[in-house]
Amino acid sequence: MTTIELDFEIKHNDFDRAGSASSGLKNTLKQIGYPPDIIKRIVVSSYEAEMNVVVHASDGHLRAVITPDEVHVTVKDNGPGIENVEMAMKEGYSTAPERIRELGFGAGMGLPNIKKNTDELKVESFVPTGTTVDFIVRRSNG
Amino acid sequence: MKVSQIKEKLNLEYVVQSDNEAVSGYASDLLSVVMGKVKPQSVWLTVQTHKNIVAVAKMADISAIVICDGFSPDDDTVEAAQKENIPILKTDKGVFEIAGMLYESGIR
Repeated sequence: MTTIELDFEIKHNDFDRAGSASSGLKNTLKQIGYPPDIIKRIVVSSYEAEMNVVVHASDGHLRAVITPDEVHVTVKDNGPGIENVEMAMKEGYSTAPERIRELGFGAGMGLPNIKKNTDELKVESFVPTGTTVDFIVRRSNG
Repeated sequence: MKVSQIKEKLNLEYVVQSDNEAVSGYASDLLSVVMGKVKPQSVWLTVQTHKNIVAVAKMADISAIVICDGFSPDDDTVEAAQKENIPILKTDKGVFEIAGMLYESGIR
């Protein structure tokens, strides 16, 4: 298998298309025969990162680089950025608006779930220019 | 146990018919909590009805969504589940009661 690069657009506030990037990523990983437990860790993380953009940010992109050994995902948006990344990493801390919470989002588990499921995670955020969530899931560390 | 067997045992109604093997279960309406805690091949009990539950089910390898307490999935939820081949069932019974019945039937 050679390296596969994927690029998906993420639209802010578009709950109809929300999840389509992670869904596409999952289809590809399944096709090329990644193990199901590793796929789950990757796509749960990418879905959380994708939904963070849909709920909190602006338009963005999800890019994935797939090699036989690991999947490297970068989710980047154009703002407004996270005021306090340290707080956002804590379970239960959320700034989601009420109407979003009614849909079951905003549990304050997004970034903590990504942390739990990935081998490497980097969150870089600048107010107001935007956030980059960058993570790697390795196949060997299942 | 097959989802179709669970449907018969618990007298659930198919909204999107498909069959999968189910070995465990989980109940919550907070999507991230579900994705963080659910075991693969689980039956998910919820009262959420919007389309995003299908994405959650797909990402978390959920075997079936059971919408409890008499709620019905939105039309686009049904469409998405058909496309992804994820069974959706519904019931007038509450989450607590369905969870108890599932547990009794051997889904742990």
